[in-house]
Amino acid sequence: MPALAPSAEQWQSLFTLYIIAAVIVAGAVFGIFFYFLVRYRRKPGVPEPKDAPRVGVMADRGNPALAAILTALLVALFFGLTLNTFALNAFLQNPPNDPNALYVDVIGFQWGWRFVYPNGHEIIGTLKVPVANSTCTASVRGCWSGTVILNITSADVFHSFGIAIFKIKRDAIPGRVNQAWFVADKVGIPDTLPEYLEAIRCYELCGTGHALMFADLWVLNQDNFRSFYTTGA
Amino acid sequence: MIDEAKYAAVYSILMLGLIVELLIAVDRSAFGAFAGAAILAIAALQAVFIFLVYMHGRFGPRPVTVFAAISLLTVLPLFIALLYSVVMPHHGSLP
Amino acid sequence: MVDWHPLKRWLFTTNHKDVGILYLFTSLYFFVAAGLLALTFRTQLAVPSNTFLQPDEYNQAVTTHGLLMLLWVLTPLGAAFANYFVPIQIGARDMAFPRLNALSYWVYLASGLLALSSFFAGGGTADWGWTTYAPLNSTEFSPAVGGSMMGLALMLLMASSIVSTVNFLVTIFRLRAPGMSLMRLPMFTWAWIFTNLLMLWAFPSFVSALSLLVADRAFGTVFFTSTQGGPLLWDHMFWFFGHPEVYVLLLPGFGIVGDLLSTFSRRPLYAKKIIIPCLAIASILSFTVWAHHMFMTGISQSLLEAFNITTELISIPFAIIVVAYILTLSGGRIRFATPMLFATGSLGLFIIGGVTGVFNSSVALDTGFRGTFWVVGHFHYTIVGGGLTGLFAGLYYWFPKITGRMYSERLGKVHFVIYMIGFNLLYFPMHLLYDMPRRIFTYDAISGWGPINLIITIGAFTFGFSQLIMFANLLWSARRGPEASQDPWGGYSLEWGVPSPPPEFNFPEGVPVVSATGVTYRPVAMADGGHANGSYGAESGEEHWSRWPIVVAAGAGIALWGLLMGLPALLLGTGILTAAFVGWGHESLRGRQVIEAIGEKWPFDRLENVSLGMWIFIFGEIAFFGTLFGAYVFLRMNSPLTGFVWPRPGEVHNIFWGGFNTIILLTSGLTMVFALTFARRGSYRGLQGSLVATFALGAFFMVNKAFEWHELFASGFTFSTSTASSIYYVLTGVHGAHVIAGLVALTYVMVKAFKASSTTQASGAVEIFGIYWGMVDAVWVFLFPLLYLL
Repeated sequence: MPALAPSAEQWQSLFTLYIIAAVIVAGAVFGIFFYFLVRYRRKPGVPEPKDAPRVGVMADRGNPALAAILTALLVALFFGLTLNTFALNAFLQNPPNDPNALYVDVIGFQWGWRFVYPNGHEIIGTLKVPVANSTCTASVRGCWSGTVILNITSADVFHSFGIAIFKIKRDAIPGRVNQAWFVADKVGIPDTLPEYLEAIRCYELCGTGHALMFADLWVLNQDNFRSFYTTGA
Repeated sequence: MIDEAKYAAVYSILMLGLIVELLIAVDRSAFGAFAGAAILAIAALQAVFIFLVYMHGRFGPRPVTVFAAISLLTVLPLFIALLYSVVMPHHGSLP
Repeated sequence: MVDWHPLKRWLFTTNHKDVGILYLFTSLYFFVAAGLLALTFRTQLAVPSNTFLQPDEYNQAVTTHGLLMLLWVLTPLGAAFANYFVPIQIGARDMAFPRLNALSYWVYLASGLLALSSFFAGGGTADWGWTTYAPLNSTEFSPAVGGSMMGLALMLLMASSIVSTVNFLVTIFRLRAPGMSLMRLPMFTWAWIFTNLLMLWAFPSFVSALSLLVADRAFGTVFFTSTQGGPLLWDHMFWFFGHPEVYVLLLPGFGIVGDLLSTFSRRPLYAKKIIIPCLAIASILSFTVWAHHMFMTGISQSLLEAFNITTELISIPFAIIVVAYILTLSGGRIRFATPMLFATGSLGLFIIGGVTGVFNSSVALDTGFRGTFWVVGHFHYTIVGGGLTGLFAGLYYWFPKITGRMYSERLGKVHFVIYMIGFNLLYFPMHLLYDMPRRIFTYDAISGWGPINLIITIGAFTFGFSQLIMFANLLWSARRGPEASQDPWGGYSLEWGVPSPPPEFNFPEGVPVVSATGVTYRPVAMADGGHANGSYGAESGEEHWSRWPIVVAAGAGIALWGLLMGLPALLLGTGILTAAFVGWGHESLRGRQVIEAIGEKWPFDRLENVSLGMWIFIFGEIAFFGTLFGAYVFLRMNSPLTGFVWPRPGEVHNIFWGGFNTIILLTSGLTMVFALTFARRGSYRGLQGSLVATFALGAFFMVNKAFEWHELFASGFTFSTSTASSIYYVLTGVHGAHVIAGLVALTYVMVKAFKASSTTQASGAVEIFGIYWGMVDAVWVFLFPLLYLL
């Protein structure tokens, strides 16, 4: 399934990078591990090594350079991974400076999500947003670029707002407003695009209704979104 | 006699520190931004004296000082992070 | 073992081996209980839209599964082996403080019973996840008294833990046999050293967080419900404890794996001199990574990026240890007995868990993983794979030593195979569910999570079933298994040089003397000039029992239960506790084991056992008060951002009243050290007078404080007024509780001083108390300016 948002696409790339690194490293480690388990298993008739442990005695053994080499290798690996992580983090943390962005207040409560639009409209349980629109630039007035900036908080306990298909998430903490943002690439509503059904969920245990605290996503084209925004329909 | 004199001397230092703290607290304007830091520095000195003199008795300080240093060092990141997480900017605004 | 009636033996024993067995049975009992809870919620999640459990039942089940497994199973199972084998591995006759050792166990049991009884407290038990986030943990959102009872059970458990930690650290540092340098200690004992150091510094943070929570729930303070502090304060305090806690859970099993890999491959451990410093570095670093549990909280990104880096760094020492473990096998003659199977299995599972941990260090990837089953998969691979599996390896490994019999090797292998299949069916698929939130009681079919959850549940039952094979095998073999030789594995730690099971005082041939060529035994000279009849320490009249530990534990458990459920129980419990303390104080040490240091003591050569114990306790207190001060710093710095104006100096509190009280307390410190000089110099009147003066000044301090509180209440500054008032009352209240506890202890010291035949007899107690009293002073020296002057 192609990514439904640039945030998801970039997240998938970074995840894939980590998977490749993990498979290589774990593969090497398990390879040596299993090889040793097979190669050095006890065979009948072969005597014990001279420095075999016995009560009160364990000989010294080993090359301390091992630690330095491993450290250097891992630091190099982490350096690469971390640079990529920080790059994605910068992207995810910083909404673009976009005058045509849509701001929505998100209030989590026991147990649902309330969305409040700049014009005062409120909906519970459904987030309706405009799709990405590259023709909508700063000089073109009265349109939405598709950038959605969320101001997330909670009305009661600690919740966590997440859209798994877009790979965005932010805790919804009472007394605090956290910001997240995304751009949706594909028009759809839950009836036509099942991924948008219950696309928004809560990711922090918040009481008995935690499992039922979800919201649908509606990604609309400019006209439909304008119609919804002005009339609330 | 010498032990009593030592402890009495430390006690006077503790009292002196207390008096200075109270003076600073009463007349903060003279110290400006340094008032809080000065008071905390005096408190730290008092604690050090209590630790080194009152609590040590006759058993050399080295291992317990190491323990103390490690204690403080592990708690220190907590302080720093708490401070940082509060004073540094974060996204969004507060209601 | 001494021929006692079984009831007397098991209720009153202070022998470390018996205490180890008690921990073993109790921790495995809680394992079964917590495991069954897991099977209930896995049943609930096996299919979509299931109705096997109600939502609140589900939440209680996941919460208690977590709390029981982490705090009442894993570490106590490690403690079982540590109690049994650490004294033997270091070459000692017993722990430094045998009665305190028994006390730790009985208080652990009492806390566990209190935790279980919270299910029946009306309204159910804690249902907010083991992480207990605020403000869900408040009475506003979780009014059930069971939640508070769980909080009290946790604090009681922490009390058991601090006593045990002090005991083990003094024992390991001071009671090693001649020639048993620290470097020569086996991996298990080394792992236990670091486990205890971590507990010493991390658990107090949990206690301070719980104190604030209990204050909120029981006394109406506003730490976690006020918008001036609240959730992020809990987040920091909890995870500052929570992250080192996971290494507490991992290390004992991880250490056992090292010893087993070496023993069963017949090769010395590779680079032990690197492994130990790596453990030390990892332990210290474990205090610098906690905010990777807070990546999505919206706090400063540069701070979180720093935590991203520290989290990656901590994987380096563990990677070095893993590679050293693997290299240990090279050139070996590996024997795949059951302990070795579990050891290699544990290492393999831990590697997988460690690798997924690197994913979790990424602050960016966390937007996908936070609060999902990916995290659940990761921590079960590390804790159950690395920690529990290693401990089960230890159970098989030490079984012949403890019982003198061998288990069925075939059943052991069957257990291993089913265990590994079940484990991986259960936990691996969780990594595929990184879109599924955790702790949800149900999901609908359209999510597509059904099939994977079904596989996981099948894995859970398989994994659970496999443990039954082990229980059957071990229980049967303990009675009917073939006799085992003294050293069936060719181990190198000292327990393999003594009979199976070991005799009462561990070393029948005398004091072990360790050198590069092995261990010899030096017979102990008897008081009558002859040599002991082989047994190290079998002087007649010594007994390994005391009736007070179990009574103290019972009193504490009943009192805490009564604190929430009714005054009669509270009074009864307090009465029992008081009687037990008095009885304990009266119990003569004559005829009992007094454990002396006779070998290696570095680096505490000049510090006596009890003094060292008090110092170690003090450092736990530093961590405790330090984290409370941290809470103060956070609340104070946070307040202007939410529009709350912290009281200015002098606005609420009378600084001269506070200053006067400071003079009183500091003067009591002076009289206390004078008591010490008088004791050393043999001056009776001086000693007694100083102690009485100290008591009087301490009591005056408390009376003064009571009046102060009364005035403040009358002026409208109460528990619930603001975070400033809440932290004032908690800080002064906790400090005050320490003063009162000190006065109680001082009563004991005064009784000793008045009854002693010479002042030097009392000077030991005076000195120990003086250290504690100095700490009380030092804490106040910070409290006073923080609360009154700044």
